Amino acid sequence: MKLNYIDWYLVELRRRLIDSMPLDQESSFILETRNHLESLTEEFVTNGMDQRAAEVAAIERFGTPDKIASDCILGIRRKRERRLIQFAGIMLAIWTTDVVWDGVSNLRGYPFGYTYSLTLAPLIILFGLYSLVLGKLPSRAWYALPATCIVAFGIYSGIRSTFYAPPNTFGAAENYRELHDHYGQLREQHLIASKMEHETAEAWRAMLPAAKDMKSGQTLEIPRIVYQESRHHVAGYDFGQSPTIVDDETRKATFRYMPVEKKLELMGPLTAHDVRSTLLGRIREVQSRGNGREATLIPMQRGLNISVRNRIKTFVSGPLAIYMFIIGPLSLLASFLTSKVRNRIRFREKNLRLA
Amino acid sequence: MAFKGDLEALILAVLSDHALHGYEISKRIRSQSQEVLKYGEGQLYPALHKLEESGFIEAEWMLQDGKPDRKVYSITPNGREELENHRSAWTKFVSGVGGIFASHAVEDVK
Repeated sequence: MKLNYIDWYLVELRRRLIDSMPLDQESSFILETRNHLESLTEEFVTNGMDQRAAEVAAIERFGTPDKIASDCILGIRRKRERRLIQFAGIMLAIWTTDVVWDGVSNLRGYPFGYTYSLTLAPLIILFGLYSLVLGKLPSRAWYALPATCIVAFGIYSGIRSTFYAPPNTFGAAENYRELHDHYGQLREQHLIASKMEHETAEAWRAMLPAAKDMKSGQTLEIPRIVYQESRHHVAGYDFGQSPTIVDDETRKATFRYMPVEKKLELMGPLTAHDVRSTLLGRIREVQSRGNGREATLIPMQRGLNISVRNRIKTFVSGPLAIYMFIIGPLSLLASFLTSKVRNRIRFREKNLRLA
Repeated sequence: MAFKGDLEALILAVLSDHALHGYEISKRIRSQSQEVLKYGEGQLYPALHKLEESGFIEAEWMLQDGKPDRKVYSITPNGREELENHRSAWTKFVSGVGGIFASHAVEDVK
């Protein structure tokens, strides 16, 4: 089959469009171009040109494949940029809401919260990868710099929140004293569900220093409230010593003295697992006796929450609903209106320009 | 100095009367402007696709006997509205420029 100039032109055009355009759009455009070139050729032949010369003239009038392909690709790139800006707008709205949500409700020394870690961070990472791999980052338009900053910050924040352990992560406690301090702080900050719980915690903490100083064979009177609420804790809790007998009538515990250093020597250093499992036991105890309010403790360990079920439940019931049905559509509407205004400004500027 | 004009506005104006395919659109722009407005005809199609994405025109493929299918474009109600915006902006522009030319022509004569 002998190819004419138009066939060769289309081969060159297709070569320049390949991988830049969806396949169906590319095929449609090539067919339209063929129709146009053949119609132009027919016009020139009608005006007296021979076939070959008419094909060449038609191609000259249509434009070089480089110019045509670059115009098409520019249009596609602008469309991707618009989508990028809209997506960035949504991400910014979600992030802002997330910060406010956590700021108002439940800051834990980690400003972005568990909702951010579980959902926004992976989304921002994916968004960043998407824009880097599938389309160039906008670099020339006036909205490019804020969009690029959002993407860069998003990638950084996403990676940081997913893989970096925040400062109050439970690492290995060096000794039981640290365990006591952690426990006391956490009870005060997070676990107070009722007046009873609060009083128990206060009494517990007041008891700890005295308990630690107990010598072997000495007894300590357990405060009534601690005894009522946490008798088995007293029996089982190790203040650096090992209480062995709790007299139910006198509420006195006889301790077997063992220095902390000796205990550590026998047990080895505490690991994060030890710390966490000890405290989780306490937390479960409090939660099971919660006074209608759920007491939660969310220690962050390497960005992963311990109670994932709680996180998912909270996220689905609250922030997800807000993001999907309010913030997301509002962001899309805002970016749509912004693009309309921008188009009007560009249209007026274009009309004042003389080519 | 050749005036290139806004190609999208010209396309909408040409399509306001009839549905046309790409070649017919370019032929009418040339003939109705008395060959004043000229551009590479390949630039027409990116402009057509942009208008289609914006919802100002719509396209459908028409079957032809013994020939390849042709994609025919027609204007939408949104497109007519956009065309009116272009028309009014153009009218203001022409009167503005015309006023300046007229006042300078008077001064030259003086």
